[in-house]
Amino acid sequence: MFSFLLRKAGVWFARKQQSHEGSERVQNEEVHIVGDLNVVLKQLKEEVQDSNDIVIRRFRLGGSQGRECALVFVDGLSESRTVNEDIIRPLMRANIKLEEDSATEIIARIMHQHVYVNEIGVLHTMSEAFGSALFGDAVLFIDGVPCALSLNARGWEMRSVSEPASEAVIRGPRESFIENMRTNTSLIRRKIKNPALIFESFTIGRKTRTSVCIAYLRNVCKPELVKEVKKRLRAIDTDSILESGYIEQYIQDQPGSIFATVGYTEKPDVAAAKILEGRVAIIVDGTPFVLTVPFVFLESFQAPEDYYLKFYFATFVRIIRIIGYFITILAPAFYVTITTFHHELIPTSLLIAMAKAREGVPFPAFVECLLMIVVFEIIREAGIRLPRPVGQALSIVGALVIGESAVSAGLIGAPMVIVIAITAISGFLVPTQNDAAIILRLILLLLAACFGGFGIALGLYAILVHMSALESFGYPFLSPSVPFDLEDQKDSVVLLPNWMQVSRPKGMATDQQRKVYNVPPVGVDKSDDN
Amino acid sequence: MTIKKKARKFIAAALTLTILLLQSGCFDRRELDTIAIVVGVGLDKGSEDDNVMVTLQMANIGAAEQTDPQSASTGASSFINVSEEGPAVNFAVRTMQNKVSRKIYLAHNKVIVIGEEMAKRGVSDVLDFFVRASEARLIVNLFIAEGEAVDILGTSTNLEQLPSSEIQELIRDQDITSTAPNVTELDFVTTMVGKATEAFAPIITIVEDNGDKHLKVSGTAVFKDTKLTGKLDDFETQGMLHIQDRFNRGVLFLTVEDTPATIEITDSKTRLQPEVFTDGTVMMHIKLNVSIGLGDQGPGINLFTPAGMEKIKAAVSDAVKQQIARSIEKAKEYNTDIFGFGQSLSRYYPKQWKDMEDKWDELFQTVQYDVEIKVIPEFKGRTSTFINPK
Repeated sequence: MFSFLLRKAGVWFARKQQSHEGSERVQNEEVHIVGDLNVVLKQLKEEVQDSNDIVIRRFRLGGSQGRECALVFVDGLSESRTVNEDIIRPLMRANIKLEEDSATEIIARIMHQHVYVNEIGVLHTMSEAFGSALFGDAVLFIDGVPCALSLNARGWEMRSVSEPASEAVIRGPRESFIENMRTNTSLIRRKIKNPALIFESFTIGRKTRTSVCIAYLRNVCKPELVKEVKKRLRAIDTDSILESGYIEQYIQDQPGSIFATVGYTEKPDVAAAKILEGRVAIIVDGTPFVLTVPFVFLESFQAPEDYYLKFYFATFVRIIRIIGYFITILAPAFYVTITTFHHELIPTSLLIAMAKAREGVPFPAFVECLLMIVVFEIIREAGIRLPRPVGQALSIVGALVIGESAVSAGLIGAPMVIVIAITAISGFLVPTQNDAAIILRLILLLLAACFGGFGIALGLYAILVHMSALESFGYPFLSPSVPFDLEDQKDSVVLLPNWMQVSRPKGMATDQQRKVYNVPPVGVDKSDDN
Repeated sequence: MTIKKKARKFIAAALTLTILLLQSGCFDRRELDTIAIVVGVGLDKGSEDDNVMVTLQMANIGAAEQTDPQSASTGASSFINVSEEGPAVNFAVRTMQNKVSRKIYLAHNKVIVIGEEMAKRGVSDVLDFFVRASEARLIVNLFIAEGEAVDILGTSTNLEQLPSSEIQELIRDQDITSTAPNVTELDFVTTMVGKATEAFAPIITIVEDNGDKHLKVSGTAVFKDTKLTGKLDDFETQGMLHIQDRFNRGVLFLTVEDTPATIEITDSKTRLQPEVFTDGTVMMHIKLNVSIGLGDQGPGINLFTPAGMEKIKAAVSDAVKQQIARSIEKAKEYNTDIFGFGQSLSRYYPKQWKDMEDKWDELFQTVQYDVEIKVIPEFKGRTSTFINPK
């Protein structure tokens, strides 16, 4: 019902937008670069006004007698050293005669002889020239030549590859993606040294012109999936893409669902593993968070470390995470329902103890619980936003206020503090589902307060129905549990050792199913000894 | 326009449904601090003949709140007993609500204690409520008080906080001594209504011990239909439990060749095998496997020897036979088939049982039995000799 409402609202907004757009839309006609440098520079000036980071350097090819030309680049995006040493210097010393050479000859000579840069492109329109310059290239306009050259001089300040902030591991690679897309693709390429690894680029966002790149393994990833991803990415028509979360909202199968059907990761090894399973990774310039699709629910319970550790332990930890997830969505609801509806479910001594704790508490259990959840969320949110040193002080105050004082002041019962504490801690076991869990927790709490155990059953049933109906790029969200596949259970709740994971997840990859080629020998192989 | 209208309709419908749902909710919501948790029930005969005096023991939440030892000495009791007389149990409980500020909540009841006079009058009408009310559980332990149930529930406790918990723990410990049957309300009622069975329940008494009053559970109250007809002492109760295959563990004090000894029965398994002769008389073959150990011994011969063991086996066999004989004798005296001989017959001889069913009362008197005991010695211990100075 909710997604229905959302879709209606979406249609309404789209209609509203269209009525606004008519006047605003500017027909961006292709302006070709003309052979007159002065005209070109005038056009350029018109477009960039006095923006102070765009540098236009005019000089003559081959010294004072040569043709006039202009090098346009963005200060800060292009590296000065490259521009000075490898572009301007050789061009100034070039032996280019004014009259003799035709435009194509000049271009060819410059490309083959005079500039020492690794990437050169020939541009024909002004918009191409702008795009190139704003990506950090140096663009060379030459008088009398009706095209421009884009010379790679990219080099800007960026964070170095460091440890991931959101996905800490004890064992496993420590590197994390950074804000630069090229570095990110290189990090993946270093994991998968295979020509079949394909990166395809898109530019999305009318104003931000953000580079977005999809990565997949040819022959492993299904062509239909790649096609679908490309289709959805091309369909995005918006002004700005500042983070992969923007993309996520546009390409989700069910934008109204509280569950994310697009995964994200900060770790190149995770992205590589997903690509190797036949998934597509979407790398967005400007954010260290790489999206992976399709995304199934059980992926939330997988940590990268699982695959590097003993599988017994990994299975155990996964079960703990699943239990933790259920605790975090159910504990407050369950506590409220047993204290207000189902007293007979608790052992007598516990009931008496709980009744003692509730004695003198002014609010009903539901209000008490809601209060505590809200207080906890306030403290959590404040802890994230505040600068780190202040955050610590806050957590101490928070712990004291909700843990100790509230109980002794008689505002809330001590068992409630325990319930909320375990709820909150369990939530951190499955960080990628934490946002959905908070909403589910509140819905179930409300249902529990209204209908007791029946309400919880009803709520869980509705959630299950909703999840079963969800898809991520045509892949069932609850797979391999719904629809059930015995073989795919190898990497679900249980995790089998790596050498037993013979095939990729069903329906994910093309027919190239095998990903393990031998079983480790048992003991010492004596046959080689003679 | 139509879309707006549709949307308005939709929102109206959604709101109505939500409000409707919320209206129906919470109707049986009860906060923990609004209920009086009943942990024990006492049923006595009222001042008038047909009346019943209901005593409910409730956990005193407010007083028990101060759990630290200093304030515990202020003397606030951890329980409250409230009594109300009425013509019927349910009526009395409802009337009692006028005296209790919180809603009486029966689901956590642990014990039902029935006063002796009440039991003699008949218990089916007073137990009806506890069987019928869905809130009350059927697995509560049932006791027959020697005297008034209200006194039992009012006895101060030794180790537990609530008298009813103490009573429940006392009956649980019977699996060590096997001198009283562990009977739940469900057992009691099913044996009472069953044609081939009769009801029985443990007896609870107040004993004085160094000037303190304590509760004690031992012996069996025996019922004929719904009425209390007689009692079995510890010795006879053990015999009954042996026949019923409810004997778990227990001790016997025997004198073997002038040597006093405590024999521990660690396990007892019984098989009842009825046999109907052509003349209609019934023979019950009672076959027991009894595992025993030597608990202690006094001066005399060393019993921890193969020869001593044989002597103990014979003595235990005799003692158990005697217990069984005494209990059957008593049951015949009260004319009540507490052993379930009838049930056993109905299973082995369903056809003949149909004829016997109606005259089982007379037939029970003529039931013959033989006892076959296999004693399995499982002697363990740190020492194998009597610590006797030479």
